[in-house]
Amino acid sequence: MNIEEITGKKNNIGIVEQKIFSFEGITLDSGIFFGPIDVAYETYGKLNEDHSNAILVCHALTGDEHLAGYHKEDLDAIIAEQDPIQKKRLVRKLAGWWDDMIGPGKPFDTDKYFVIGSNVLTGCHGTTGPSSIDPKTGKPYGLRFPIVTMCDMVKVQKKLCEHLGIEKLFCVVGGSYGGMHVLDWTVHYPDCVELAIIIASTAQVSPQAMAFDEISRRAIMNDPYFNHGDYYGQDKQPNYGTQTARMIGHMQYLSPEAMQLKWGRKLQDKDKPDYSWDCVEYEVESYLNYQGKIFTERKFDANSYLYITKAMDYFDAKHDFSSLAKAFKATKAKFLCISFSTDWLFPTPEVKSFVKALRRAGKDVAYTEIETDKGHDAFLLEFDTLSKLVKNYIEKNGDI
Amino acid sequence: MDNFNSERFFTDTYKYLLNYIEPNTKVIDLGCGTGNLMELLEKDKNCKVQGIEIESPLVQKCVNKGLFVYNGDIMEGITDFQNKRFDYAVLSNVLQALDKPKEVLEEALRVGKKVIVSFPNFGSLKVRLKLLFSGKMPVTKELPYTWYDTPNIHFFTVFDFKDLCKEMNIEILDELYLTKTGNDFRRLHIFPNIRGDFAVFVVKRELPIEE
Repeated sequence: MNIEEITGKKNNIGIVEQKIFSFEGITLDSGIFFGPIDVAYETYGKLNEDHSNAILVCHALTGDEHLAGYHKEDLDAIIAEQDPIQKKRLVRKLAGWWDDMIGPGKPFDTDKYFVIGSNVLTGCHGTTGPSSIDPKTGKPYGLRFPIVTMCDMVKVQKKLCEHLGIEKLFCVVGGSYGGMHVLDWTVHYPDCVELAIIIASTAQVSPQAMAFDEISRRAIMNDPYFNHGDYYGQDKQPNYGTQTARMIGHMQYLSPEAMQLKWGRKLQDKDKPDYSWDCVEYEVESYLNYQGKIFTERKFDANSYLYITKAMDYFDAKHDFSSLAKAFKATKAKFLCISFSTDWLFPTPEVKSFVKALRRAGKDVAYTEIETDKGHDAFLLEFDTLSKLVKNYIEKNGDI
Repeated sequence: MDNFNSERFFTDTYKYLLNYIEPNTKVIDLGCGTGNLMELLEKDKNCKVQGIEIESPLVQKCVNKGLFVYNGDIMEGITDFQNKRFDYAVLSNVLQALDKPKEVLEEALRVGKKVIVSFPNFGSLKVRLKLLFSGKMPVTKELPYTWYDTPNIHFFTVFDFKDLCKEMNIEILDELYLTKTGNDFRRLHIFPNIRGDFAVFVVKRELPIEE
């Protein structure tokens, strides 16, 4: 099959497949041993002889291990689609979420590097999470799944790397939620990372972000169909709450400037308001409703959302240390850190605060703020600037 | 303001700055622009170099060269460093563009064992004559900006700088004066401090002994 002919995309990695690594489990931060654990992952490119060219990509809040290329069945669906507009939509939707960054000749060049994506512990894309079957009961865990921290998630990623025969990662990269994983890697596995790339992230979630997380969780848990987390197999799913949580998320990812530019106060397909509860009045409402709807359509698990945001709230990179600089003291990694000027979820001062701690710890850090009106979403939108920085950083500072 | 132009113009002075820097040393470039001097220090002198630069697009040029630069204000970025952490702190053609040049100089002396300062001499004969005869703020090759649109907000002469050194108990280890002829900067030997368009100082100050 010629991928370029089917998708119109150049240098696409092509057909990829999800793999599962199963192991006995880990002792969690909370002290309990949890297992067995399945990890869903994908890999791109080839691991070199001395296993020194591996790049781990840590996904964002609701992301997954499918970073680039297409799954076979998705490609078949694209081929089968006759409507050109629908086809285009599928090409975009079914590609891995960082397809532009990973592939032959791309910034994470799969001709040179071995790239790994893995779904986080508590996720719902193949890795063990609250929607997985508890072997003890034969039923989904639901809220009986233990509370998990970022460190636990990274511990699972480390297990996967060991399974793949990788002692030291050439590079660990992540934006937003994934950036916290990268920071945790450098703190808890100081000898295992050569280059760290952290984009629009934080070393400690702010009370404001925690507040939005709690509101999102309340929306889910107060949904009439939530049923204490045991909604699996029910006719009605806790979709209202999950959609609301997603809407809160999307609002955080946009800057006020971007919202003004995108919609302003424009009404949705009409000249004057209807003064009614039965319709959408403004374009901004329509956008958020749409984002909520597609989130439940892709069957993102409501319990996973609870666990994932909970882990984020607990995250504090200096957790086991007296200061952030001390937490970073041992790491041998070099750092590239990036913030976006209009990001108010993980704003520049928050990025600067861990950058400054890294500098106090004597680390090599390149830090820059990208000027943009796109807010936190810039992580996926400011492709040109970002890809150039990432490509040059790993080429010039890595020994491959 | 057009920092790019000015940086290219003054790149020719870098070879004189480089002469003062021992190989294999640690250097911080304060206001490093697009990182041209940092690159030379890494390549020619095998120095371990860091930079601080406030303008994001310039920092991104540095990152694209593989350099380690902090995007922010010099005063904000320099506080992270311990005393005498660097063999050299460099203030290349930057002091006159700062809000608080004296405070930055203080900090440079704190983190650097030696500080290399270069700046356009606003007291050169050329400038003095222009001001005298035209009665207007001089616009020259070295100072190509109009008064209302210039990155240079604190003009000073070599005599002013020497006064400041005296006031701050700074020891001057070396000084040299350059003039631009054609495309190149040339070192002056006769009445250099009056004829020089551009000055380079190597200075140092020991840390005060704490009681």
